[in-house]
Amino acid sequence: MHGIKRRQWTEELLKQKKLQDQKKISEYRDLTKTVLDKKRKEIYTLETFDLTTQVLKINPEFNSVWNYRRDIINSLRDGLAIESWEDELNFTMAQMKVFPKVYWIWNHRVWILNNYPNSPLKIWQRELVIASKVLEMDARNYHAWHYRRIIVNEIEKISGKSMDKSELEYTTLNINQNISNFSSWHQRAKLLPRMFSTDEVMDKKKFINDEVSYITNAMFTDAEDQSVWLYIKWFIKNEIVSKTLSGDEYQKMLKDLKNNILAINEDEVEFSGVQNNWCLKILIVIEDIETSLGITNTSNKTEYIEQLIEADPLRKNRYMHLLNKH
Amino acid sequence: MSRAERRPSMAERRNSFLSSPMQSVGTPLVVPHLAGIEDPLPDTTPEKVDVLIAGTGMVESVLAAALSWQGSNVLHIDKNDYYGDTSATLTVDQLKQWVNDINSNSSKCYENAKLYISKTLSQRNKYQSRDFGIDLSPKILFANSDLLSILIKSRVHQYLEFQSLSNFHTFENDSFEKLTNSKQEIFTDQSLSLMTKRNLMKFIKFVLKWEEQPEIWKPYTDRPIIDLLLEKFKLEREQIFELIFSIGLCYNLESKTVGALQRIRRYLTSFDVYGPFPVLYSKYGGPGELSQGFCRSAAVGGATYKLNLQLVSYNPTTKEATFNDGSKVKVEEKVIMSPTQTASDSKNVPDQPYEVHRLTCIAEKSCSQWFAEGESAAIVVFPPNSLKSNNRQVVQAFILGSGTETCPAGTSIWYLSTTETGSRAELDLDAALEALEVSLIRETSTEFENENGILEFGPNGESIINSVKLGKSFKEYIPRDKIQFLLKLYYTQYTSTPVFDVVKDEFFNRKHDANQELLIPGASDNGVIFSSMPSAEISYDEVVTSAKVLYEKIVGSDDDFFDVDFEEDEVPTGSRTAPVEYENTFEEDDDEDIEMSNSNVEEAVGEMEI
Amino acid sequence: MLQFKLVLLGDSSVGKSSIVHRFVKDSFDEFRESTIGAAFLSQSIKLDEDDTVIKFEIWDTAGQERYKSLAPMYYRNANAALVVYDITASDSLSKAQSWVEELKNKVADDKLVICLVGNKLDLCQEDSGKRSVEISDAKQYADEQGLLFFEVSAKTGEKVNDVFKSIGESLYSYKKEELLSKSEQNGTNTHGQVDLQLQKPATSDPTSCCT
Repeated sequence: MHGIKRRQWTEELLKQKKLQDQKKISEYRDLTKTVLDKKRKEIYTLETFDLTTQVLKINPEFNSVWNYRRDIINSLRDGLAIESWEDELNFTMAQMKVFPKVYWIWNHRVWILNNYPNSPLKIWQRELVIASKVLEMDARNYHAWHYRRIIVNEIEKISGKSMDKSELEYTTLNINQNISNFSSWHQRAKLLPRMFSTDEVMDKKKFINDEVSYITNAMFTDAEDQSVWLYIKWFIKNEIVSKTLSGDEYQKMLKDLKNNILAINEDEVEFSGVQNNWCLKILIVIEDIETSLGITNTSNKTEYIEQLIEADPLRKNRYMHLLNKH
Repeated sequence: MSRAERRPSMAERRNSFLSSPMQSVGTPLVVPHLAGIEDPLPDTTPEKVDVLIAGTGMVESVLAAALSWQGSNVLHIDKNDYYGDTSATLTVDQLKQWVNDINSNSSKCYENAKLYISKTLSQRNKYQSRDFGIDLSPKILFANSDLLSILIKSRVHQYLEFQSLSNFHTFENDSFEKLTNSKQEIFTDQSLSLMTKRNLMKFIKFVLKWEEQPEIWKPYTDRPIIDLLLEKFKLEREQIFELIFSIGLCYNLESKTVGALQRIRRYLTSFDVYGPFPVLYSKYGGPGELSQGFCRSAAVGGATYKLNLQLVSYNPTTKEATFNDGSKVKVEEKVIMSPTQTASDSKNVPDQPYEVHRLTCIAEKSCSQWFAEGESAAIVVFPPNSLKSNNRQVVQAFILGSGTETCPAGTSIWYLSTTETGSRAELDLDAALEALEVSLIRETSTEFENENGILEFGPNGESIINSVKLGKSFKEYIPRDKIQFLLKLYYTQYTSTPVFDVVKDEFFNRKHDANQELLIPGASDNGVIFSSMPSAEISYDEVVTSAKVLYEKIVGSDDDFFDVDFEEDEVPTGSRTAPVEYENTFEEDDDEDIEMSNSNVEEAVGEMEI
Repeated sequence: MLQFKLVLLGDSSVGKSSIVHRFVKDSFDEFRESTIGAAFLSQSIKLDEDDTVIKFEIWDTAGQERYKSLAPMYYRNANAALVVYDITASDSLSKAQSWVEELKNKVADDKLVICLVGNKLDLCQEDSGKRSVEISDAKQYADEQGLLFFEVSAKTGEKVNDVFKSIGESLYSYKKEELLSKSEQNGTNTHGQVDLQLQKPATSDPTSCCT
C-alpha cells in the first residue's frame, strides 16, 4: 500500500535516532519519579499540575497521575477561573484524539463535567453533541456509547425531562446507516421498556407493529447479521410486546414472523443448500413462546434442534441440552 | 532480459544519488530529492534515442513515463500543438480544427464528424473558446483500479485535482432511477420488497467474492449474466438492469457472466475506498489532464518532448526516423505510434473494426439536479430497449457541470456514447439526448417546485428522502421550454479493441519486426508498433494493460513497470485534524451465544437467553 | 501556512533550476530527508509580517519548455512565476520577454505575481566585461510590465532568498485583500474534492458498504 514510509537510514541517522530514543526514555523516568515523589508529599501547585500534564501526555494510562491531577485541581479549585475548566476539557479532548482507547481519559472528562462550577445544563448539552460526533466517526465505540449514556442521564436529571424519544430516534438513525450497529440495537432494547413504562408512547400497538416491520425489514436485508437476530430474540419475548398486544394479536405477530423466518430459511436452503442457524434458533424461541402460551399444535422444535446440530456440530452438547430440557 | 542486463534507471544513473545499496535485485528504486531538476538539459535535439513515441494519448503517455523511470531515453512527439491526441481535452477552437482535420483527411480512426456551434457561442460575447474543455474520449476513474494505483505511485496525482462522482442513474420507463447499491440504501429503501432486499444483498455479498464460489456461477459461465441474476438470485428486472448497466456498465443484454461479474465487482469494491462514492474524475478535463500529468512525469524522468512534430518516415533497417521539419533521429530500439499520428504512405496501420459513436453537447443548463450534493458530475445509463429508438445497445451519458471547471457556470457538458453500429447509432444517441432533455425540462420547470411526494415517512415516523428523485411523478408533463445547446458534435471513432475487453498481446505481434519479410514496399511506417485507439469503455481500465503490453514489447518484461518508489513526502500539515480512531471495544466475536446483556454496559436488558 | 504554486520559465541554460536548487537546498535539513519525489519541489519561508509562513510548490519545466511544449497543466492555477534570463547572454532578455507574454496569455489571473530574474551575477562581478544585459534595461521593462525584478547569482546564492521573499510578500498582500473581500466571493466550492494523498482509503475492507 502507498503511504508506507521507506527511508534510507544511513548508519549515522540510525545512531542519531537511538541516542534520541535513549534520551527520551531517561527523561520520562526522571519525570515520573519527580511526579510520584511530589504526589507522596501532597504538593498541589500549578507547577505540579503542569508536571502531570507532561506525564499524561506521554502515558495516559497512568491512573494514579490522573488521581493526583484531580487532587491538585480540588485543592486549587477556589482560585480557578472558568477558562481553566475549559482548558481541562480541551486537554482531555486532545488526549482522546491521540489515545482513543484509554478509559481514564473518558473517566477524567466526566469528572471535570461533574465538578465544573455549577455544572450547567449547557455544558452537558454541548458534550452530547461532542459524544455524538465521536460516535459518528466510529459508531461502535463502546467508550463513547457508555459516555453518551452518562451525559444523557445527566441532562435528564438536570432538566427533569426524559430524552428517550430523541434517543430512540438516534438509534434508528444509526441503524439505518449501519444495520449491524450492535450498540444501537442494544440501546433500543433498553429504551423501549422504559418508554412503555413511563407512558411515553402514545399508540403502543402501532408502535409495536411498526417495530415488527422494522425488524422484519432488517432480517430480510441481512439474515446473517447477529445484532438484528439478538434484538429480535429480545423483542419477541419482552413483555412490552406480550402485554401490549392482545393474545390473538401476539399469536398472529409470532406466526407472521415465523412465516417470514421460514421463508428466509427456505430461500437459504434453496440457494446454498444449508440452513440459516439464526433462523433455526429464533424459530426455536418462537416455538418456546408458543408452547408457553399453550398453543400446542405441531411443534417443530425437535426438528429445528436436530438441524442445528447438523449444521453446527461444535455446539452439539449445548443444543442437546436444549432438546432434553423439554 | 534480466534486470542486471538492463540499462540503469534514472535514479541509478544520477550521480548525486548518495546511498549505494541499490544493487540488490528487486529493491524498488528510490528517487532522490531533486529529481529532474539538477542537470541542465542539452539544448539540441538528441541524435539518438532508445524509444520514439508518436502521440500523447493516455496509453502513450503512461508508457512514456514508465519507460523514462525505467531508464529509457524517450523522445515523445505529437503532430498536434496540444497534448492528449486521442485523449485530448480541447477548447472550442481546437475542436473546430480537429473536426476539420477529421473531415479533410480520411483515416481509420475517426469519421463523419459533424459540429454545430450556436450563435451565442460563436459570437464570443458571453463565452470564450477556452472556457470549455471538451474531452475526445471522456473517462471515469474507479477508486479501486490499476490506473489509480499508478497515479499515486508515480506521484502524477499531485499534478491533478480529483472530484467524486456518486450519482448513477438508470433510465427506465421514461424516468431516471437513482441507484440503490449500499446496504444502507437497500435497508431504508421503501420501494423494494422484502424478498428483493434479501436477494439483492445476497447477490452483493456473492459478487464480492464470486471466484471463491464456482458452484454458483460455473453453470452460467457461457451464458449471459442476466440468466444468473434471474434464475439463481431471483432478482427483478429493475435491479437486474441497475446491476448490469449502471453498476456493471455493460453494453448489452448478451454480456457474459464472468466479465459482467468482474465489472459489477469493480464498482462495489471501489465504493468507500476514498469515501461513499465509486468513481472519480479529474478536474479541468479527463484523459487530457491525465495525459499531461504522465507526460510531465516522463519529462521529469528525462524524456524529451516536442509538440507540432510528425514522424514522416521510419527506416527499420537504418533505424532512422525522419520528421516533418526535416530533422532526423536514430531510434535504438522501438518506434511506437498512435494510429492517429500517421503520415501519408502508412500502410501498416492495423484495422480498427469496432465502432464507438459519440454525441457531445454543451447545454446552457447547470444540470445540478442530476448531481449528488456538492458534486458536479453524474452518469446516466440507458439500458437496451429503454429508448424510443428501441436501442439494442446501451447508451451511456456522462454529464459534467461547471464545478469540474470544464465549462462555465450555468452550462454543462453531456457526453453520450454507444457501441451500436452504422446509422442506428445516431438514432439511439438522438433518442437518448431527447430523453435527457425532456427530463431536465420537467425537473427544472417552476410549476413543479413544490411537488409532493419527494419526502416519505418511514415505519417509525422518520423522514426518508424518496430515492426516486427524478422524473417519475412528472411523467405526463409536456415540456414547453427548450434547452439551448451551445454546441453539438457527432463523430464515429474506430478502435481495434472490442467492448468489454482489453487489448490483446497478439495485437502488437502482427508485423512490427523489422527483420521479417512483412515489410511493405514504399510504406513509411514499416517496423513501427502501433498503439491501440481508446475503446468504448467509459472507465480507464484498459489503459494500464495496453501500456504494459507495449512496455513489455520494448523492455522485455513488465516486471519493473513503474517500479519506482519516490521517497515519502513530508506529512501534509493542514487544517485537517487527524481522524479520531476509536477501537471497537465492543467485540462482536463469532460466538453466536453472546447476549445483548453480557456487554459491559451496566444496565442489563433483561433475559436474552436461548 | 499559505501555499502557492510557483512556476519557472525562461530558456534552457539560463539557470532556472540552479536558482531553485539554491533556494531549496540551502535550508535543507540533513536529518529530515523528507522529499517530494518527482512531482515538484517545495520550500517554505517565513515573512516578517505577521510571522506568516509561505510554502512554495515549485514546478520546474522539466525540459518541456525547450520546444515550447509546456502543457496547460503547467500554467494552471499558478500564483507566481519566475522568469529567468542570463545577464551574460545578450538575447536572453528578449527571450524572457516573450516568456512573459506567453505567461500573460496562458494565465488569466491578474493577481499572478511575476518576478523577472537575471542570473549569473557572479560572472559579471568577476569580470564586468561579461555583462551583456544592462540592469537598467531589464529594470525598465520590469517596471513597465509591473514585474518584480532581481539580479541574482545561483552560484553564490546572492539575492536568491530575496527573490522568494519578495514574491512571498506580494502573494501575502494579495491574499490579505482576498480574505478581506471574502464576503464578495460566493465561496469557491471545494465539495466533492478528493485528495488522494490526505484521504487515504477510508477502509481496508472493500466490502464495508454492503456486508
